[in-house]
Amino acid sequence: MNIIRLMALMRKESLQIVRDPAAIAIAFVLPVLLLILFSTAISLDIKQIPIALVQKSTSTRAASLAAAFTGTKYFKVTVVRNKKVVVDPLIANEINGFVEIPGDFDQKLASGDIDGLIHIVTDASQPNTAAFVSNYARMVVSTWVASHVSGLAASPVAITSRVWFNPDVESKNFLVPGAIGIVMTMIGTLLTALVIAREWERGSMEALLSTPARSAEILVGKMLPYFILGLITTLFAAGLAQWVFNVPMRGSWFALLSLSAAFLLPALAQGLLISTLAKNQFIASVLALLSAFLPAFLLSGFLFEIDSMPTVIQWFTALLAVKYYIIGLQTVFIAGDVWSLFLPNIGFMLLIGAVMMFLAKLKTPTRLE
Amino acid sequence: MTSETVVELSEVTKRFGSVQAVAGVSASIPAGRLIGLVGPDGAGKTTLMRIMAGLILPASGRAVVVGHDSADDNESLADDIGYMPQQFGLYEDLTVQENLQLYADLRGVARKKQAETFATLLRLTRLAKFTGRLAGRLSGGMKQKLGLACALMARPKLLLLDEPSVGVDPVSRQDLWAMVEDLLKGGMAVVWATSYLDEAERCSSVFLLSEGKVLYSGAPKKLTDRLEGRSFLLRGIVTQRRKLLADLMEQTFISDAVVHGESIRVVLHEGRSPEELGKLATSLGGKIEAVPPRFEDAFIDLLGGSSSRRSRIAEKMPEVTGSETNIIACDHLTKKFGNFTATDNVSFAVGRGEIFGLLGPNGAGKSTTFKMLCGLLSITEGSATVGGHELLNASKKAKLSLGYMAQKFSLYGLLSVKQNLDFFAGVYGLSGKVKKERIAEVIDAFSLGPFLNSDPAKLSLGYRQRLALACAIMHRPPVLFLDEPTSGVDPITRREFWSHINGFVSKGMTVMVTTHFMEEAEYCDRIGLMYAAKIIALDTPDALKKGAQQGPEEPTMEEAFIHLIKQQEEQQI
Amino acid sequence: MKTFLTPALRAQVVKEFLSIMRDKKTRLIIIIPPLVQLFVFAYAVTLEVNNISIAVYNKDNGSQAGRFIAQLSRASFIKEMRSVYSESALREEINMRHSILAVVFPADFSRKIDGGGQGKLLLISDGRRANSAQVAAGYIQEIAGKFAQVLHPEIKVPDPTVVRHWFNENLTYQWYVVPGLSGIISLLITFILTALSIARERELGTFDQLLVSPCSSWEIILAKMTPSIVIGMALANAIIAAAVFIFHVPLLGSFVLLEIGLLIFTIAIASMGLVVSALAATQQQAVLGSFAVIVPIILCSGFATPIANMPQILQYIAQGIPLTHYIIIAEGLFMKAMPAFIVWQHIGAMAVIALVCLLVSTSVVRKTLQ
Repeated sequence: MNIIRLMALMRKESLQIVRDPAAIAIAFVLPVLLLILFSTAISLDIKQIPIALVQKSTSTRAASLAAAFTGTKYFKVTVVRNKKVVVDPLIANEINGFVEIPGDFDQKLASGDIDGLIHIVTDASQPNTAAFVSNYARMVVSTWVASHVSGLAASPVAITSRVWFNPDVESKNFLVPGAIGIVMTMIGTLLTALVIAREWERGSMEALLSTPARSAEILVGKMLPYFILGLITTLFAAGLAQWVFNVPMRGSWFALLSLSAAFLLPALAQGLLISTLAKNQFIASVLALLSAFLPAFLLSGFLFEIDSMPTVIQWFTALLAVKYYIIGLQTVFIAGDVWSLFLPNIGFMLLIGAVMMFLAKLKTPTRLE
Repeated sequence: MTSETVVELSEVTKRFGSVQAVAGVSASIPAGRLIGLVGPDGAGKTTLMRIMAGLILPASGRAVVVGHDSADDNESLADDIGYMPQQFGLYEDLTVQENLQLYADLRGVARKKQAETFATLLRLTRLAKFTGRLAGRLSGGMKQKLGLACALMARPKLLLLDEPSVGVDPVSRQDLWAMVEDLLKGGMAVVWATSYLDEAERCSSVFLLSEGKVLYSGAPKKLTDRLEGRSFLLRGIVTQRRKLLADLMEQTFISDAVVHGESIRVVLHEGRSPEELGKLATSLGGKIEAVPPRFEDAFIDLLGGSSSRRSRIAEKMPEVTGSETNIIACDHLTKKFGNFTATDNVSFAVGRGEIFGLLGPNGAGKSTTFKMLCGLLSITEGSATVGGHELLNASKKAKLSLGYMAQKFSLYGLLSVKQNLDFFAGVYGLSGKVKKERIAEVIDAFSLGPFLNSDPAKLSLGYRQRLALACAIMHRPPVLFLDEPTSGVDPITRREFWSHINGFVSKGMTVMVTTHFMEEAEYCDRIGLMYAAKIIALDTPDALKKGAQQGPEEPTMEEAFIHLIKQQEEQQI
Repeated sequence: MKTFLTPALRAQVVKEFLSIMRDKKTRLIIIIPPLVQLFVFAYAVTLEVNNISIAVYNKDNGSQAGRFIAQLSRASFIKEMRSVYSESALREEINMRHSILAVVFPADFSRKIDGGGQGKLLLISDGRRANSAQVAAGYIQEIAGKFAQVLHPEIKVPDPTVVRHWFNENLTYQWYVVPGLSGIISLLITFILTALSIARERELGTFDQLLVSPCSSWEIILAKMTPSIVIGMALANAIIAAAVFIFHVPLLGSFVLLEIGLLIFTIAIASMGLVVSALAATQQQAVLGSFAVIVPIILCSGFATPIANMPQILQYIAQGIPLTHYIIIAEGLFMKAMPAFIVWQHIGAMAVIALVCLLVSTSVVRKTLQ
């Protein structure tokens, strides 16, 4: 390894990054965009779900139950008298379900025969929302029943729920750190893959290979500038998360940077590997999207629970560096420094990175064939 | 020192699929010499260069380069050689200075010596004014020179240059030679692959490759000498020299003939007496004049003589008729990019059946003028018309009158040869029986039959040019635009290419061509020479040469070109 | 028809198809990833919660906690119950993400219940996975609600609610994902293919050749959009077929309407792709540009989370996204037998979007042509 050559390659790469609007966009615009989307558009907190309330009884007690529904932040309630008028909106996606208070509501309550009194109908063509609607509607009803109907035995078990790290259960608190993981995947893998594939396409790789630069120098010279860019973006995105999107940062910046540094190794190595296999920007980009972006998005546990996936896919996720990274990010932001979790995760990332680097080195040609 | 052997190739072979690229080449290259590597397209020049650079392993045989066996250790081999690939990998988003700096560091030029090295290289390449400019913004010739400067950075023992002068104007070519000659003095061995045979003539020895084999090795002069007494200039034929050329090529005693200004240059087959030619000349009212042979004559002869004959495709074309006289016309044409004027008040007109050449150094504004004529660029001032239409917003009908062959290979690489033909026939509105006939015609005339299902990118350069020409003329346009049509093409293919163009022109087609290749300039009826966005000379090739004549001998086109440019430069100072 | 499909236009359409389909690698890249996505999405992408591990910290010596734990162990969503015996072990259990949720029984749990009172159960969820933890907590809540029945099997405890899930009785997640996926995958492929089309010609230098030829700009636009639309529709139909035949999603509505909706949808997407292509100087920029558009489109389309949850401004933006409307149509026609007049409203909305995009892309392409 020759320091002058290495420095020359790194300087070249850095100049190219600085002058490439696409690189700058990925490093600094993409984080802003994704952070905005994940803190606003993608919200797993259910609130203001539109439902209808078919209030067939006009009694004060029925009105009291209706008020219980209109009073909750979970629902946006339209009150109607007739069941017929809610079917079309349900089919047209204007409401996600309806709750029916029967005409003989008072009589039933008085007689104590309350089994199956309130009908809850959901639009289960969207199963997620349907489950939320039914759960919250039931909760509203049972809470109301418990306080308004006498003579019913209280439930033997009372549950107090506490959510550690995220007491208000704001999904942005764990989605925004996850989004940082996705940005870093884009920088590490997609950008690197595109950049090297471009060198092959433009023929500058042939010129590089014919200079005294060693293939290890070419690899390191490529990776280090992107490594540094990645760390800068981490700081930028974490700053945004903390000060603009108000995500708590309970861990240390040191832990954050350690995790990011450890993740960049496998991410960059994967980009290198893809570019040496593809040598063409279109194929490189699709491979990167398929092998890095989609898994980061879908299989890293960021949005969807890994435990609930089929076993084969669970095994596969163990090979994803981004999974360890996103777990680390979410922890460092909202739980704090849990080194007993970070260290093994960093270890896994470095291990995956080492294997990928080895493969990339193996596949990086020193000749044209 | 000079007796040291730098490259030792023994029975080197390499094949790609079914193509035998290099078939048993043995060669030895001593230090301090300039070695030319010549041969037709697909002869294996680039493969051999890459083998010497350690970028490709030979399938069998050994390549020992500067003491390293290329099979063992191509990384340390790279320390001792400099290599400039055909498409040099400049970083277009780095400036000239930054590119130089990068390669200086990569090639281990000591920091202390760098400033001095850069100054020398920038002086030789005349790039000193442009150090801050991004490499991507340089003109083609400037890029080529910068690439060479980067390859020349260190003083390796062996320098491999793969077609370094393609697309470079004569003035810059002189600069290139000056740089290389400077290096040779230092004891470096230089291998220069080229399809320009006047360059090969300047090498101390050449390897002539064909189909992967060495046909000739030794001093170029020795090969040229074999042709002594066989080269003639047929003078005094004023009209129809293109038709005559086609007739000449059918004579059995003639090995090669090309248009040379208003004359025709003829090479006889071995053992044929010049009397036959003399008689023919007299019957046409002209006379013959013996001229010294050129390396190109010997090259064509060694490869079995020029194979080009009459253009079958031109024969099938109907005569182009019409009343307008100025088919192509520029009137006070000006193009400005911001503050920069690329084309400045250019006016000229081209008549029917004329070949008009646009020449000039890199960056003089040829391409800009050309593009405005084709309707690819908007016009700032003045007008540019083809067949009376400005093409930028022209109707379909007006665009149909134009055939266009771009400088860079620009057919669809993702489509096969046949699919490209189908596409261009269709886009120009051909369909049904006519389309089938026209496609069959060009396949036959350009011998594309065996390659119909191949990817264009896998064809040799010569076949790619044929295909590009085929695609441009299937709709039989009355006007044909050629942007550096034979850059980097070998002389045999070039002759064939021009035999078609000559055929088209004799049917009344009008041709506009840009070129850097002075031989090609001789084929034109008139030449417009551009310099610094203006036309500085516009005349027939012979008149231009005469105007530049200083001694008793008629200058070559290249000398005339350089003279005119120098004159212009002096006037400006 | 004859005058519309001129030889010039036909030649260009054929060329565009061949540019995509002739190269084996490109062909594979168009076909394989959507298949992978189909199965990954259909099986992995679910907000259902099952197979989870929960921690149990039982400080109660009585029998009621044991009974409750026995009920829990019968729950199908729990894979493993991990007992912990101290606060610090509990903290570690959650911190290390071994368990998503912990159930804590206080020392007086049995005593309270046996005395006719309420046992106070504490659920601690991992806020990093708050969403899944909340769902799991909901399940446990339900178990707790039924605990009275366990204690007193002889008394009937009334349940005041009846829940009916219309259109998808068992809340089968795939019934939702797969029809929506037909939109997402045709979006990805149609968009990227169109986005690359002009950028590729520009990068490879064939664009000039096209410009000097007698093609009008609308011919170029039409030719570039056609293959992406056809391929996008073909993929969408492959997924619709998979939905019907592999995942057995009921297709109750009109198939013809679905196809019309799909056509308008892909036209809108292709015109958006064309704008990106006309603006991008290189293929790299086209790829990154597509990415920058596709991700927000998918996120804001309501596929992942309900639009009603988004801030008002994003709800308006969502109405301008063709995917939003397509997903409503697809889900509606599959499960809800959505009546034609509603479908046409959404098709109309998409047609307006398509028209706007088409006008923008035509003017942008025209500009680049000059």
